[in-house]
Amino acid sequence: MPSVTNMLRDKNQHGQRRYSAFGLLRKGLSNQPWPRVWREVPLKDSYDVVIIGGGVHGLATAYYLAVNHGITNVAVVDKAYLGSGGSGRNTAIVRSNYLTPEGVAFYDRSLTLYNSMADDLNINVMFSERGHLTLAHNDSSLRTMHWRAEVNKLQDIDSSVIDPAEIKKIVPSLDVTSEARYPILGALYHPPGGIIRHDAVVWGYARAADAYGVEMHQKTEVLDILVEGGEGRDGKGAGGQVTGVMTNRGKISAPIVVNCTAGWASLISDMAGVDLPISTRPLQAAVTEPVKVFLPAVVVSGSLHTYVSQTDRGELVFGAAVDPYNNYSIRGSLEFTEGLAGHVMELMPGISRMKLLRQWAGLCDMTPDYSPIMGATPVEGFLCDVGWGTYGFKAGPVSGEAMAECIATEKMPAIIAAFGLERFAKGDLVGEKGAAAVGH
Amino acid sequence: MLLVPCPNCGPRNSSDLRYVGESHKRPDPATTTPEEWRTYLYMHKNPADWMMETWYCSSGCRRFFTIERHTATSEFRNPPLPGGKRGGRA
Amino acid sequence: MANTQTPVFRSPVAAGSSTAPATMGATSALSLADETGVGIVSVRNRDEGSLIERFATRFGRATRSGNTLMAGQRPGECIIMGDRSGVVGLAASKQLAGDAVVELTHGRVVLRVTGAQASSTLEKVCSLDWSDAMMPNGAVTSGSVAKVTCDVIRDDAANGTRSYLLTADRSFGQYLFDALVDAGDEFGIVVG
Ligand SMILES: Cc1cc2nc3c(=O)[nH]c(=O)nc-3n(C[C@H](O)[C@H](O)[C@H](O)COP(=O)(O)OP(=O)(O)OC[C@H]3O[C@@H](n4cnc5c(N)ncnc54)[C@H](O)[C@@H]3O)c2cc1C
Ligand SMILES: [Zn+2]
Repeated sequence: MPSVTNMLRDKNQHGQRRYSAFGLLRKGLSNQPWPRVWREVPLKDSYDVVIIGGGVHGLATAYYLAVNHGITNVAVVDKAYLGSGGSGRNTAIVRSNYLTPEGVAFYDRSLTLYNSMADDLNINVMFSERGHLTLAHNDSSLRTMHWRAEVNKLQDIDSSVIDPAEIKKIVPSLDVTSEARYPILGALYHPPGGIIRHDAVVWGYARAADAYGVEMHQKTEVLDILVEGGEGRDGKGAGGQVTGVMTNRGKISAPIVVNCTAGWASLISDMAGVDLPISTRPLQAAVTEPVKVFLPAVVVSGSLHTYVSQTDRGELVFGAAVDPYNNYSIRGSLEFTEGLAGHVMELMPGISRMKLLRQWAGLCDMTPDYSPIMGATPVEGFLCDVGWGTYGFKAGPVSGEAMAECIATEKMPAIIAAFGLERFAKGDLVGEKGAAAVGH
Repeated sequence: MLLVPCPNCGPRNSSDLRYVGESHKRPDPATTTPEEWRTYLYMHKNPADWMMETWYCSSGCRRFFTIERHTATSEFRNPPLPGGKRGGRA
Repeated sequence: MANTQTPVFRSPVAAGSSTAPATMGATSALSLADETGVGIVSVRNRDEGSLIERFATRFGRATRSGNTLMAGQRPGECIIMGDRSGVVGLAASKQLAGDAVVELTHGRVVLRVTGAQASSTLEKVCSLDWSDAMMPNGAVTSGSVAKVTCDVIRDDAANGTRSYLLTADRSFGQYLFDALVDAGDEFGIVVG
């Protein structure tokens, strides 16, 4: 794959300068402002491809269209700012220890791309492969973990079930005694799992795509999808052909429109007359005050609906399961904080005095099988890359790569073949609940 | 906490109920095709708007009921009354 | 309705295992009693009207006849509590076709919270409205108490002292008992 590093060496055609330690020093000493990360250009009235949604999925798709396929007459439109959706709100956990062979192969490719991302995009994404532990508090979850470990090993993923003594060695602050209310019986240990700086990933893709001439248009809200010849209302729906989108800044013509709007995916899809099996649920997260680093790995407990990791600054970042009912509001709730605090206390009694600084929420596009929906829809030229639920950040790179290939070749790449929308009518689900029920 | 107006128990904390989800008309199992049945099972409108949905009053009266809620503001309207008629106060 | 019989079923609440304070005395404004073992029969029928007729109670209300309490626990479901053989006999004698009659004695823990501070105690662990307007004597409801789903009957003592009967799945007995003792601690709760 051609790397953007070469293009960005010193300056590129748009005058972007390479990020480097030396550059940082120079800016620090000279106190000059940093240049814009991507250009702001006038909106044209037609593009080859319009991507709706400026999260990691939309931006990665645009980047790989340009870098892998030379398709650069592309606009990414977002109703707010880049990264305003789940991509700027997630808890940044990256891993590949899923349950189905299709899922494992897919997420593993993403990990590979994340590993070389800092070089490829010339931005410090702070990827830290610190290890990922999923705790089992009962026999059935221990059984699922053995199952996952075996599926993982068959595909050469570093993943195994370890006992409480080993867990204690990795994370000394965990209560592994049998007196705990929910005793820890074992854990699925996945050393390559870790956390990454999500904003840098979003900005990195935007900046790199910009270097190839892709346009990013913020505050550009899609109000309607233009479709002709379909069998539904106003010529939309199955059998139709997409011709463009209507936005708050006017009409844009495009033969290909890609829906990368995660929590809002059903609303966009409905504009084209396509039904999706998605329910929108908020997922909440919270962060504490910073303390000395004591938590070396990501710790997840499915039974307690909670997970925690410590940032490089020392804050603990907590997440949970999605809210219990559909909602398009991202207000936080007291139940969440209360439940979270109780559960975290059961795992790590030692942190009872720590203060929560903030809590927030993001919208998640939940599917019936906890797997994404990618590729073609019944409307010609209208593609989707949605259904990312609570687990889609880690899939950004591989999804962008596969969606770009899908657009360029008009064929469904093998790595996402199992994730087509038609699987629901066929009853061919890819059940990942066992590996994705607690969002991360 | 969201207060859900159960027709039998009155307003209850949402944590006392189980959310079943968007209400759809169930096709007749005797005549439906597998595809229609799966559409019924999996497909959703998922609007950011008023939506008919089903709740199960698991800690209270143990009855299922449908109610209209706005999925952006979480207001309820026209809650059912005991016996299934609509038009109670939310 | 204190169960004076030799309990047929062992209580799920272990005697002496609670954290009850030592300050016991008859003057307490709040007490917690374990009445597990009292007979419980559930009668269900789709025809709510026929239940009302036979058991003189409707959904949301309880009526007492001597030592027997008949409570409209859910729409179409009546719970009869009292002397075990008595309630089993009563349900059998009134049984109609279409009834589902199940004896629940073995499956439920029965706790009674009595005293002026009883509602203040329950308010701490449950979001139900315990005011007299919503829960007068004879009111029946269910909801989660200390996160355990409980059936609740307001069943005041003969002298008018406020009293609530809580029944829940038996396996939650000890937990629910401890949670109530904990909640009642500040009011000087007494066990027994
Ligand atoms: C609290 C939380 C924690 C999470 N933790 C993890 C984790 O640890 N690991 C992981 O892998 N995943 C995690 N996720 C999930 C992950 O964040 C998402 O799946 C992922 O970011 C989705 O990316 P996206 O690019 O598809 O969508 P988003 O980043 O949500 O972007 C969608 C964009 O579409 C735009 N949009 C919507 N409607 C319109 C319109 N009409 N016109 C124009 N633009 C529109 C929005 O403004 C938004 O910017 C978490 C999510 C949340 C909320
Ligand atoms: Zn109810």
